[in-house]
Amino acid sequence: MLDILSAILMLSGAFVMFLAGLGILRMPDLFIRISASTKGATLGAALLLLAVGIRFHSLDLLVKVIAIILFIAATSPISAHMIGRIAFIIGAPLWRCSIIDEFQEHHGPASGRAAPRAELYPDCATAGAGKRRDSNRKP
Amino acid sequence: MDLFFLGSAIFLTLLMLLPLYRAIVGPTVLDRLIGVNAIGSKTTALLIFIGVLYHRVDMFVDISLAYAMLNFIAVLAASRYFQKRKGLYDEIEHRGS
Repeated sequence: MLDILSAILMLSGAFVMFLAGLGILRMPDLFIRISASTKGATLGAALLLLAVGIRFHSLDLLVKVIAIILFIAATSPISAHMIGRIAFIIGAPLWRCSIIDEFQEHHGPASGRAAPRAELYPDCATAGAGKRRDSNRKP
Repeated sequence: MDLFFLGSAIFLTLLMLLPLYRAIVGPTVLDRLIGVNAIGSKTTALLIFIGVLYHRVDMFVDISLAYAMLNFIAVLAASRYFQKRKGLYDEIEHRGS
């Protein structure tokens, strides 16, 4: 029974890891790549580690595996946030179909990044972009 | 079941080629950094599988935990280093699609 559950967890973890690798290979923008890589790699590593943890009937292995999963889930968003923040500060360009840049509206223009102008590219309209929504988060 | 672990470990190793492409040809240095970060998080799971194949899981769990910490520290230190360098994106045009 535990073998079947472990095999299911391992297959799903490998599939999620494959999705993370595909996202980091194919996505058009640094920030979208960070998003795909972080979420996919965290969930995939958690599933794979849990598959090994429930396979052997020992409690201390399961506790250590859960500790590793908690550590990855705590530190992977921090490193992704650090990379994304520094990419914003040094002016990484957004995707050309981006429709909003809230950091620029709140903190002034960053160094050398133009405002997003998705309405100039007509092929972006199929992806749901092009119509700029108002951001009502400002107090 | 041991063969299943071996196949999964080989698949995970082949899966590292996708972030490795991003780490080699990635347009900027931050793309390379997130490629290396993705390879590191795959290595954390791969070390457990190596422990299963060598029948020393209790030892390789600690190595995997140490590798996760090392990956986190490396990304943090490298991103703090590249914060000081302005003009990293000046020579790269706005690449679409």
